[in-house]
Amino acid sequence: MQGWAPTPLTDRGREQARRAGTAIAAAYDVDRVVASDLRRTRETTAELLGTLDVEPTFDRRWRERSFGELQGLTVEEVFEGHPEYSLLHAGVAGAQATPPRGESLIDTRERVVDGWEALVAEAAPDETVLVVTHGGPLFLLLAYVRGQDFETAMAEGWPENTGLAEFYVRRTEDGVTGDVRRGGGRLHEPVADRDDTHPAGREEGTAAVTERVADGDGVDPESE
Amino acid sequence: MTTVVVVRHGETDWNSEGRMQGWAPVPLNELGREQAVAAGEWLAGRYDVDRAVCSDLLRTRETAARLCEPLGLVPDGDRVAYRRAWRERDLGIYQGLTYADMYDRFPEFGLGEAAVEAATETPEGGESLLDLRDRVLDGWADLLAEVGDEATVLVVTHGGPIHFLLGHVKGLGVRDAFLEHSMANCGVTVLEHPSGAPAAATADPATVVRENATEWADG
Repeated sequence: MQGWAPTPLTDRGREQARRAGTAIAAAYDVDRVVASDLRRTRETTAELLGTLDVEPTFDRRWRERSFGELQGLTVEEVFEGHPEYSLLHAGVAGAQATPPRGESLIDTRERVVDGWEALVAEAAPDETVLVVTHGGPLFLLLAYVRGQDFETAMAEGWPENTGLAEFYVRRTEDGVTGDVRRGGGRLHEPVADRDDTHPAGREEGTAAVTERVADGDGVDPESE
Repeated sequence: MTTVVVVRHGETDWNSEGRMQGWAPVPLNELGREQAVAAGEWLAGRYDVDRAVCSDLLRTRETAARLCEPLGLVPDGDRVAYRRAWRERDLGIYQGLTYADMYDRFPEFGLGEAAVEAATETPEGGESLLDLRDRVLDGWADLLAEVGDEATVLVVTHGGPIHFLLGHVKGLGVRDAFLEHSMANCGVTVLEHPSGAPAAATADPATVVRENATEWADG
């Protein structure tokens, strides 16, 4: 569990990010880039932007969940050694449980949804925004936009490294609605299997979210 | 005279992997448990320990439990206290990184120097080296105030606090205290503090009788 640790990308992670960047440049016309300010997302963003001419902004609200004093333990050590944090074992209480000086899943969701709402509110009509973040925030955002509870969302699986989700947002007089168009799979060919695992669980690239923001009449420009 | 027997915790998997633990709840590994048992037996033949003060982190609790048994102390009894003052430095967001990661960040320095460079910052959510030193020296003064003059006290703690305790007694600055000491897992350091003398921030009259002794491994 890396939490907020400033772990760098592996060579494989860099390659994944370069491939994702090429695929994103081919599929989207990105107007703006917002990224988590942690080291691995900064490095991912730099690789992604190798093919895009956009200046990123960094925002703490897109950080991974902080595990506080449990940072650095493995997933098994956290959830088997401390089942009170596990959704599977503890249900809702697991989403509310806060590791010492860390964040609960609910805290994290609140922060990510804040970031999401701010991003949608400031988006220009027909703007395409690339968000570079982590597995946790992307999982939480997908569940939020889909209106899923955690149990249903867990069944969808966890976003993979450099997986890409696409959100299409409509603003009408009745408010903002969002649709999930891509669920977090990769746009690019996979990089060969890992041979560079790291005891601290270094991340290999980080999930990227592209969201498209439309305005006004709610017509999907791609269906026209 | 107060005799203070200071022991670093036994080995953990993070120690053997070179990962920085900070306040992470990492248990002892098999070697670490054996070290604690051997060190406890060695101490029992040499010291008549009246009480123990231990860091409340998992690895020091597990070490203390094994040290206490041959010394005739009950780990949950009222002669054994667990205090946050004796915890390792809180590394904040650096917790779980390796020393090699720190070296990557500060490649212009040697390994020890990189550690000092990293140490001069306050990691987000963590403590600076000065924070650690102040906390440990407060713990030291509290310990001397609360135990009797003729007491022998066991302290179970971590590398960082022992470095600063030794640095304090030897009158070293932060940098030298940090760089010039090295503690083995379950290394035993013994300090003697004269009766009635203050645990002054300067010129502490304590003397170092043993430093990082590991003779328990020879038997």
